Amino acid sequence: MSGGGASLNRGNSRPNGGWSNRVSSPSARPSIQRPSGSNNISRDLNRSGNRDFNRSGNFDGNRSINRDVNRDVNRNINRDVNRNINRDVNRNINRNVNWNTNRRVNIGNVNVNPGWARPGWGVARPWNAGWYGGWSSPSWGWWGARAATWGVASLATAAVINNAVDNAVSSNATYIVVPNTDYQLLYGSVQPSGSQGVSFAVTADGSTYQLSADCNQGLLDGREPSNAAEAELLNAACQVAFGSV
Amino acid sequence: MSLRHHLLHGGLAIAAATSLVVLNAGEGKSEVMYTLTTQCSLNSEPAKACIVEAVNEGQSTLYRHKIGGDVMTVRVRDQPVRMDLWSKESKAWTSLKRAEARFSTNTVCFNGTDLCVVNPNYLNSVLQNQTPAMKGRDHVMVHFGSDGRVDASCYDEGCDVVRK
Repeated sequence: MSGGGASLNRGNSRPNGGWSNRVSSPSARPSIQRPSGSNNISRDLNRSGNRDFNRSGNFDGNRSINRDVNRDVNRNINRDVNRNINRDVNRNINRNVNWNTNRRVNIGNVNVNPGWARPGWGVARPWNAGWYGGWSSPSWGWWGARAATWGVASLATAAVINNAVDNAVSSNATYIVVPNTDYQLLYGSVQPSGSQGVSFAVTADGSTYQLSADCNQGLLDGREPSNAAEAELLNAACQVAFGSV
Repeated sequence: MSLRHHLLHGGLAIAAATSLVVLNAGEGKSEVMYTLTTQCSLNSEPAKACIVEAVNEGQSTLYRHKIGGDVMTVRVRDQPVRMDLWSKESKAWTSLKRAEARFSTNTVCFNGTDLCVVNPNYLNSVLQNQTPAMKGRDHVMVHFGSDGRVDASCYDEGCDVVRK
């Protein structure tokens, strides 16, 4: 308890993203109680705490000699294989993406902590235009016709992406890993552009890019996604901007 | 028209202009920050549609909650932080006893659950203005003493301690 600390204030400084004029989400109900189904830090701490204690208590006594021998052999083999695979995948993806180097930005200049990027982010998103709150994945018009070309059956669902953002918020991470890709979407940078467009920053292979997308036409920086990973990125950014939560 | 007449008219005009400036300075500039269509709840009752009008007025920010035909106005001042509720009966501001917020539900409540409102604008602003203090917090409460100033504030489980 901090005596006299003013943790609430006038609330009159305009947050990044501006003021909302309408709270349209059906989940927006005034309640001071903690949401029953939400992820929270204390729950995560409890889980990891219990597991760690149990395991370390049982294993330390009898099995240490055998395990050391086995582990060394397995680890060496696995590490070699994984490293090689990862390098190949990263290189291929980056070549395929071929994002314009003009789109590169300094990650330090990207605002990754706007006021809405917090618990309750779905309702807190300050924009109300276009598809906000009224669209749900995976109903993109552009998806079905092109999916076969990219060799994937489905995109990540809204729930998967929402959970990823929830978990990132809980752990103070500024990005989510876009499902089935190596891209890191800086979710706090997501902003709508008109009724069906979105702009966002994404990190790939150590560089951060400021990109735009058209969620209705399925365009990434003005062109069709060139592979499944880019389609997943487009899908994730549009879900964060417009999707129901 | 005589020179004296001109001077008299000019003097009156200057005097009127001067008094207008003084009046404006005294009242402070009034500016609507936003009008938010949202949900409110009175005395723990089910949520009702409401409109929040946030107005900057001099050193105060007024939050007018229009719920049906009723209007409840909360005034928030800074340095030090004070919160008051407009009493229609006494036609005066009465200091709140406490105010609290839950970020994950975007809810702000005044005097327990006398008035609760979904207002993400307020919370977005608070969070950005006080990022270090608010980081990782979900529930925030402030308690006001008899002088209207904050005499206790708490976060999350710490508020259970304060309530005791």
